[in-house]
Amino acid sequence: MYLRTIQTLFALVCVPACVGTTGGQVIDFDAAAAGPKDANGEFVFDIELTNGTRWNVDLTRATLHVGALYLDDSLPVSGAQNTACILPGAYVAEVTTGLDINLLSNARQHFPSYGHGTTLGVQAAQVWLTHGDVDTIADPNPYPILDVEGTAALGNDVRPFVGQITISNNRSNTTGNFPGAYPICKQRIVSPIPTSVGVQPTGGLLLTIDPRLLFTNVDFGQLARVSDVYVFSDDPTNSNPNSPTYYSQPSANLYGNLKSAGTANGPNLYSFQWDPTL
Amino acid sequence: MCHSTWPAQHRLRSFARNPIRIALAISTAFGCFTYLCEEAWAQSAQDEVTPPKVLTHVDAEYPQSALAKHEHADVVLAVTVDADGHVSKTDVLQSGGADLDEAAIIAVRQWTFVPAKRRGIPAASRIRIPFHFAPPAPPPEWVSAPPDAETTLPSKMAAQQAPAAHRASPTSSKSAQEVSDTEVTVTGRLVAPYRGASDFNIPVGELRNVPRQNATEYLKLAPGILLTNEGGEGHAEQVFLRGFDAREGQDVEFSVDGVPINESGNLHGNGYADTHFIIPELIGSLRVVEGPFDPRQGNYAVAGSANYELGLDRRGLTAKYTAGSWDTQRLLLLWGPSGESTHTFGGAEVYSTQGYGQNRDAQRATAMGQYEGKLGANGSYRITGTAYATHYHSAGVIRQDDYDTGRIGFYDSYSILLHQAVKPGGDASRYSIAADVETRKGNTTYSQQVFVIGRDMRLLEDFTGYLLDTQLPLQSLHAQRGDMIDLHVHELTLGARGASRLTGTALGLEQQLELGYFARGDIVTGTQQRIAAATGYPYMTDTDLTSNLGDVGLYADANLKLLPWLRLQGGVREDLFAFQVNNLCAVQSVAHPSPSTPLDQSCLSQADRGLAREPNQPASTSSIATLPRASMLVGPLEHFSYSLSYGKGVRSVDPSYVTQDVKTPFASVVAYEGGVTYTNTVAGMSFVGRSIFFQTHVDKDLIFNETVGRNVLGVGTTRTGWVGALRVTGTHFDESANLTLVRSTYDDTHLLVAYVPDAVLRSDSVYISELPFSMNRHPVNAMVGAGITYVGPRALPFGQRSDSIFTTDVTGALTWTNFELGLSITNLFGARYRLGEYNYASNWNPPGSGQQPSLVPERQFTAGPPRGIFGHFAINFQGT
Repeated sequence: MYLRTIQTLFALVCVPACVGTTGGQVIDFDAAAAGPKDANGEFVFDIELTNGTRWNVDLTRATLHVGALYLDDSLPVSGAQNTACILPGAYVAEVTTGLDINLLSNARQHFPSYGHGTTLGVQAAQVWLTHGDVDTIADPNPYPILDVEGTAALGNDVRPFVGQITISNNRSNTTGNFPGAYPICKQRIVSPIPTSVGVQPTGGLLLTIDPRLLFTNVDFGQLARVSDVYVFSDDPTNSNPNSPTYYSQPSANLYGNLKSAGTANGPNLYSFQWDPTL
Repeated sequence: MCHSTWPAQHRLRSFARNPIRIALAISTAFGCFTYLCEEAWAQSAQDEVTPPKVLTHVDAEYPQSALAKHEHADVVLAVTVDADGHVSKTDVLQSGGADLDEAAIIAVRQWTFVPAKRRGIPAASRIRIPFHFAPPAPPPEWVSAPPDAETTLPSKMAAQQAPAAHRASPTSSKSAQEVSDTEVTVTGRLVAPYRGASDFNIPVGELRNVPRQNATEYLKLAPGILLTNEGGEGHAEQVFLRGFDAREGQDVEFSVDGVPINESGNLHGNGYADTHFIIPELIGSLRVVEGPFDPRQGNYAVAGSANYELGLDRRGLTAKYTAGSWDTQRLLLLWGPSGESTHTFGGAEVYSTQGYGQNRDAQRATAMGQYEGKLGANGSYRITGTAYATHYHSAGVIRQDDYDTGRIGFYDSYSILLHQAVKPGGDASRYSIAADVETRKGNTTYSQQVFVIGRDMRLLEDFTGYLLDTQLPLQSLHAQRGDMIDLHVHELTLGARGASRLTGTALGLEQQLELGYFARGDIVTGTQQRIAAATGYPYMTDTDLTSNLGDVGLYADANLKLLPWLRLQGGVREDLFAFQVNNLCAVQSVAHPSPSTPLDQSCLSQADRGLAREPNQPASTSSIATLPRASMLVGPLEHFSYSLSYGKGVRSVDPSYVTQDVKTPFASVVAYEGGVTYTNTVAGMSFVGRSIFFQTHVDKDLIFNETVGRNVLGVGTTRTGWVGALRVTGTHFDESANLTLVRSTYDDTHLLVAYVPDAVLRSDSVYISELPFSMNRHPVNAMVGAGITYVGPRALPFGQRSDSIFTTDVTGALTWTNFELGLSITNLFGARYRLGEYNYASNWNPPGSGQQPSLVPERQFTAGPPRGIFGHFAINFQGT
């Protein structure tokens, strides 16, 4: 009590000087993810390929594991060498606990713990698709990052499909001229996603993921049939067309779409907004 | 205070018993007042020198051999009074005959003095004392003698006759007055003229008893100082001064007896100043100038300068052993030969501690020696040697969120938690020798000094954990290996300084002009590598520089008294800074690499498309800085002195910024201030109070960058603030208190500069008294002291504020004859406080932890020490 009184008295001397700020704020915020607003358990939509073919897709399952989210204050110049997994500039906000997101629900699915950050401006975002250490090649978790299921139809050609994407040893790539040109973190991080989220002292970060965009230019006609379903391959090293896990166009494009950071004008698979109601 | 602990206690021994001692004590207080007043206008304007004052005297006996002649005679002695107040040399200027000469010499050699002082610093002096010998008068009538003096009256009368016979011998009631009728020549050193209210000339005196861990902490006797240390006991303290984050001295010019401490070219910070080689007990006084107002101030005097004046009051051999918390032990030996000045001494210490919490152990050993000799009647020389070596560890920073979740304890270290192969810490050593001479010829005083300093340091620091070692495409695949910095610096400094001060009379007043120079050359090698936390091996070289740095400065300083109450002083200084830098690791990336040159190799030998080049890049340049300084001191009112000061200072550039022929980007400071000083004495207590308003502007400030572990050049900043300081000194006590309020902002955004404190309050108090009992007929003296620090919440990045700091250190000691037993408690209330607080990105989740990295700014802190209890025992042999 005596000590507190003394401290209080001393604190009074600080009053004339201890005013002002260095600018900005440090905040802890709620973070959530959701499917699009029109998500209600399943999506029925058309996919038009570049050759004009139009598949009708009934998507009945789409879950995605997001390991972490990061917002950065700078967006690398387009065309510039951008090969590091970590963005230049200063990271503004982060959510470092993972979440399995049902992309067919428009309900806000909250990340297990609060995000942390500052109120600096944001120009880019990263979505980390990982269960564990982003630099460790082997994924310690056997569950896939992406799990989709549905039916694709082209006229009378109806193809039930399933797809699971893991990013582990199967995505490790040691080819190329430079030893570190294809680090595993490059496979796991979707970056840089152009965004201009205004981080505020109140509210929270909402990540919206539109699963329909996962199937952009996916030609279901090239999927291999395994038993009674068509399966997206999760083995990018399999170049044998006769193999049931042949890594064909639809598998490559599904993965490519999952990894697509999009453009400033969108529409993008991943979109961020600051939601004052969170 | 004017005296060290034991002399003061000796003085107090018979304080209550002897009215003469009371008179002496009061007069001593008067002496202290005079001493402190020298900081202010009233004294400095009139005379910066205080002559010696007789403290105790022994009467000269009229020799028996002369009684027969029954003659009167005069003897005039020239007496050298050392800075410790003792007579060291006598010369007969006028003889009265061999017997009388000898009688005068025997008597005067037993006199003691309050030594002469220059600007509050004890100094040797030479005075002229005439004696007049007259034969004893006839015995008085028995009836006039007091009853209790019957049997001794004749001898008493004889004894009393002698002082009455020599006119220079003061009577008891005047014993402490100045020797006003003698010619006084003070042979101490020149001191720089008082520059205004921000010129703090601080005799340490009794305030040395307040617990302090090292020499840097003596800076707290000056206003506005906050010291932090995230690097460990062998790492220089980070100094915050009047709104400056001077880091480890980059913005404060440090010196000891004029020998520079700042290390030019040190990779950890250009101007890094480690004062740990100074044994605190050997600090006699401290001059802190808070601002660049003196033309003698050179490189790094941006926030100001601090010069330690070494000295040892206590003569004889002193041994002191300290032990206490955290297995701390310290053995100190000091010796000051009797009859020599306070500037002749030796000292050595050995220290070890396990430190509080984890990974804070330290060991060090220090030795210092100085000899001061006379050069004729008007000169002296000093030779000083120092040696210092230390090995230590440091806990580093703690993330607040990790502490909140219980992952790590308040006093813990990530290096222990994460089992890192190499722990943060370092090694340092410093060896130096300096020699200086000062002599006076006619009305000019000349001084010269040379110095050689060898310095090595290794520093292992980690501010960010596993954040910076990101995978690059040209590297072999790797996870984060750790961000620990392993920095090595080796430096050899050669230098000299000199000055001549001409004193003359104009306008009926004394005027002075001083011309001087300063020169130093530094040969520096510095490397900084990154250490893999798992193995302790260096995996990357950040920097590898060899530098030859030169700094030659000239100055002129005029001290003009236009009126008895008006003085103008100042001048200009010009420094040429020369840089020859060879960057041995200039090429760290290539525009069009080939697979044969992966970036795992730090210092590449290829630039573009395989074209060969060597990895080094020499660069040289030079620049001249012109630094005007001026002060006006006005003192028309009794007790008050007003000052206005202006000055421009400079900090040379870090060698890593040097490019060929490009003028080095000096950081310049322009400072203005107005102050008033009040001095007075009331009831034997002296008061010195100051009030100062100041503003400083730095065009390129240093901003802390955690990724490189040091400050880097940033934008301009401005500081505006107020300082209040008070020192009250009485016979039994000494109190120093100060408060600094400052607002420090960036010029472009007008936002606050992070990390610097807005408010600093400091109090140092010591009370000394004789206890009401004695042991074996020797009195027991007691001393209690306290140091209180309050630092207001500091601004942190992103609108944050740190916690405030409030600490109280107390001490107490008992002294009996030549023994001293003491106890000190630091952080008396056991406050758990954050000494340093930061807000930046770090990631202490190593690869494989399964945790995603933290990449955004988060609060980090270094823990201040908890309560510590230390006891000490000291004994003095053959001391005075």
